[in-house]
Amino acid sequence: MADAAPALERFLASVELKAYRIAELGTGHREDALELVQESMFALVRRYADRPEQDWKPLFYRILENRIRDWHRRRKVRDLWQGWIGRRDADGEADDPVQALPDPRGGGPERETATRQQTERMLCALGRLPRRQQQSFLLRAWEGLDTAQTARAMGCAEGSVKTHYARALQALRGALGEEEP
Amino acid sequence: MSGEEQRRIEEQAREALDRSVETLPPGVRARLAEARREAIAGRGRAAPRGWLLPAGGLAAAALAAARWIALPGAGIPGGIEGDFELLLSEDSLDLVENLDFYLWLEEEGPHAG
Repeated sequence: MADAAPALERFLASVELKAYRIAELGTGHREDALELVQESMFALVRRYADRPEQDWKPLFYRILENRIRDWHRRRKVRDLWQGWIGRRDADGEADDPVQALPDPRGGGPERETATRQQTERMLCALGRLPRRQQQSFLLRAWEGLDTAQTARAMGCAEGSVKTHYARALQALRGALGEEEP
Repeated sequence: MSGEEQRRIEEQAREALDRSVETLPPGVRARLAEARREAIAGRGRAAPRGWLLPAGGLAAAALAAARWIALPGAGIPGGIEGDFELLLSEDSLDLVENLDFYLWLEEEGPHAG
């Protein structure tokens, strides 16, 4: 297992940024997203370091998705409790994930503004997707998992992944179409 | 939806997501790298769960309140107590993940592990 350390580190380095963004889209909270990714890293290393490397990605995302799901359950109960006692948690509000994004391709202020707006529209549309649709789309279209791996990561049948994915595409098309000038 | 339209949406999404990752603040990148190093260095121990601690304390109070309120005629839905139990159990995540793992092993057969 000690020999797995370099490979594990390479794997985690390869997924950590995307995993963070997925967690942030899934929760809307930067700090919580960081903690969920950290916990997922620890869980993967602690339990599955001796698994074949090709299993790490679906396992890691399965762990992360479990954490996000439990985060929502805890959040729901916490909000309910706070509602009862008449106070609201003012911290932890989501920061705009694309706020102040520079355009790495340059091209002047107009181009930069257009690119930023396009990025913002897409991220907002992704953020509004129902969780299962969001999961299936992010894991398949962005993380590159195939349908079977996505099904493992989401804990559902491959047919369900295809359904969620198709609905996500429809929702994105609708959302982006509505906002286009 | 046509295949071309699907590919266009997928490509737009990938570009937006890639760009959002490329421009992540250095502080976020540093914390992720630190978490990765700690995970590798600290194999065998659980991750610190700072955010769970206040939630756990809050949940303990909430569970006590729920049990008290959930008397005949009180307004709390009975099923919600299960959620409070979840809040109280820091091991629940581990349990869920192990269950997943065993289910996966069963599906994968002898080559799974």
